[in-house]
Amino acid sequence: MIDSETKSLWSHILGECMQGELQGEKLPLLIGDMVTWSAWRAEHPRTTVLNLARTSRNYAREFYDEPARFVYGFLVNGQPRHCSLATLVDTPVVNVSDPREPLVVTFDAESTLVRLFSSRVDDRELRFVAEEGGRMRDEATQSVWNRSTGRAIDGPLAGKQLAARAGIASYAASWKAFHPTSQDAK
Amino acid sequence: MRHRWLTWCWAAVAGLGAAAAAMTGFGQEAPEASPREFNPRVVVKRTFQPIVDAPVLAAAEVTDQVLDHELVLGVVVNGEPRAYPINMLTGPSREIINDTLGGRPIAATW
Repeated sequence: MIDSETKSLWSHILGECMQGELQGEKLPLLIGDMVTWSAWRAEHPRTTVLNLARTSRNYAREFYDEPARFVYGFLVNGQPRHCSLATLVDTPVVNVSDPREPLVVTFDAESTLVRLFSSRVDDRELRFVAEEGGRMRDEATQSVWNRSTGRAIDGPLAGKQLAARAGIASYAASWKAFHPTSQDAK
Repeated sequence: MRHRWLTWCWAAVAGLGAAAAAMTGFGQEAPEASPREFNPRVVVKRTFQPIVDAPVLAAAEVTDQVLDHELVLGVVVNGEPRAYPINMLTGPSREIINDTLGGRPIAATW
C-alpha cells in the first residue's frame, strides 16, 4: 500500500514502510475483530457502521468453512506465533506457553471471533479450559469467563478483565510467507 | 513512533518483492530483505483514490446494509466502536478505509 502524503511503499500485512521517505516506520497494530455483525452489535450497541455501497455478498460466517486455510497470527515481543483455525475449531481455548508473555487464544464458532489475551492476572498466570456457551474456566480458581470479551463473570475472579492483545486473522500461507519462523502456538 | 496523519490506498505494488521470491518453506529462516533489494512485483496497475470521510450509520439505522451473519471488522478506539462490513470492502479501491475513531487516525483494512 502507499501513503498519499509521501508516496512511500508499505507492506500491508506487516504495516511496515519498505521504501521511500518513511522507510522503516512501523504502524502500530490495533485490535480489530473479524466477527459477525450480530455478535458485534450485541457486544457494542452504540457502534456506528461504515455505510458504503455493498460490493459483495461472499463474506459471512461460511467464509471460515475451511478452517485449515486460516491462522490467527500475532507477535510476542516481535517473535511471530500462530494458531491454526482448525486447532481452534477443535479446541476453542488454547493456552500459549511463551517465555515472553503468557497468552490465551480463544475462538467462538457462532460469531467466528478469535481473540488473544494476556493470561496474567494480578501476577498470576492463569490456564483456561473451554466451557459451553462461549465461556472458559480458569484452572486455578474455577472462575468462569466470557471467552470473547475476556471478562470473568462468576467465581473468585468475577469482574476481572484480561488484557487484550492484537493479532490478525490471516490466510495460513500468507502469514507463513511473511513470518517463515512463526511457531505454532499450541 | 512518530504519529502521522497518513492516508492510505493501494498502489501498484504487492508483496515484498525480493524477499517474497526468496522465501523458503515454513519454519526455515528467510534471508533478511535488504532495503536496496526491495523490488515489488506490479499486480495492481493503478493507484486508487484514498477513501476518507466515508459515511457511517448508527446501529439502529441499519436495515439491509449488513446482515446478521455477515462479517465485519470491528474496532474500538478510546471507547468508540465502529464496524466495517467486509462486504463493502472487497476490491482494491475499497480495502483500506482511512478514518478517525475515538479521535485517533486509523486505517481499517483487511
